[in-house]
Amino acid sequence: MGDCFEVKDYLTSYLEGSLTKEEEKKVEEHLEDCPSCEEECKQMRKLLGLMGSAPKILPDDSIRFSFEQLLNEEKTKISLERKKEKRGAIVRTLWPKNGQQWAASVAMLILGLGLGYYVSKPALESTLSEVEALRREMTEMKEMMMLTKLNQPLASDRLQAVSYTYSMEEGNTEVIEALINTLNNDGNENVRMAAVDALAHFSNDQRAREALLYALKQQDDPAIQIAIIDALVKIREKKALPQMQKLLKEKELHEVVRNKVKDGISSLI
Amino acid sequence: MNSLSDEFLMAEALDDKLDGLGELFERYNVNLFNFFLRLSHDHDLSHDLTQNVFFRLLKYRKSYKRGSRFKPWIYQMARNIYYDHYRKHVEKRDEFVNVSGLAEAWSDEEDLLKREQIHLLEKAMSLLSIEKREVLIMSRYQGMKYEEVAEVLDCTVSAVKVKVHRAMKELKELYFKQV
Repeated sequence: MGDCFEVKDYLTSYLEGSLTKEEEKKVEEHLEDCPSCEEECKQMRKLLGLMGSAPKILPDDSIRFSFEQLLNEEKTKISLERKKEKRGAIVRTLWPKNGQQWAASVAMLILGLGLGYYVSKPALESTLSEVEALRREMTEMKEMMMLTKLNQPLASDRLQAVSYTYSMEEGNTEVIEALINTLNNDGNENVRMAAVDALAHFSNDQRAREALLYALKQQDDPAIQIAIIDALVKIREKKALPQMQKLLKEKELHEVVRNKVKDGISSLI
Repeated sequence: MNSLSDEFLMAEALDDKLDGLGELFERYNVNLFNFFLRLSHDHDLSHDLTQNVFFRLLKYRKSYKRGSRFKPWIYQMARNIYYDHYRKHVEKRDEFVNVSGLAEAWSDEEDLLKREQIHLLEKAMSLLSIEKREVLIMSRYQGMKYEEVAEVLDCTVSAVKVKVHRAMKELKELYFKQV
């Protein structure tokens, strides 16, 4: 490598240390013999040193703020989209298999309400309150489904409606009134029996307890009487004792119910 | 998070886990800002363009290919942003960039001689074509590997070596002509 032209092509790589040992040695040998290349090498070294030592300028903090803001907006968007997907899943779960028209319209209405609700919500909301809102909406959705189904002609629909209430933590006035109405007036004994259990589930509500007490006087079907007594014992309703004593005096009382009443009295006393 | 690779953080972002993007901002914002600053010698413009890079990173994150190297990807984006801007504003561009203000900032040296040298270097840099300047900025000022520069420019490593060599040669001539 005695050629100046060739050596000049290698100078940058030589100064970077990216040549092989052999190539490096050849360049060094040439530089010792050639003052012009030696000078050029010195200049190059100086420039590279200067470039490497030039300090960096820091940008203003404003770009960090605006990026963080963008990032947060994007994160919120993602969590809202996830929520939307979750909502879709809930609607699918509650969707009746027979695909009746009314169910579709109720679900669509609720979905619409839900979408409207979240669109109007402030952009930033803690995850916790989002979960809370979701749960509330789910309950509302169930309540509406329940109230609609309770008026269906098929007993199996009404039974399903009553069973929705088991997963509600607390019933609102409409739900409880609907259950009471069902217990007193529904023509199917299985539906009435389910209503008894549902009302016992809402035993925190005074109206539910009173409805059960009233039903104990009114219902004459042994199966329902047994269900009512079980429910009253379960919710520890001592006000049921006078009516139970009265029942024992009735001659026509079914033997199984009589025994149930006796057991009930002894466990409530 | 400090020990996680750029590529890992980006793969997370593909799955809509965006926390890593804040870290990527911290890792790259200063270098990208200085990349634009040395290309444009315009402080405000460099701010806007840097912001633009991170905006695109966020919005177009899904265009990142899982497993590919992050640094060349984001520099490619930065470079596209600069060229887009340059094309749009080429007629307005001041032929003679005023480097003195920036050279002040670039040189916090007490040493007056070194300060003068850096000033002259910036002046020489500003006389290079953009193509030559960007190669030197990436490889010399930002310490990128030739493999990374090659990926940004979509060419071979040996082509990058040739580009760097030619740019250095011209820069050297421009610099020592002033001295």
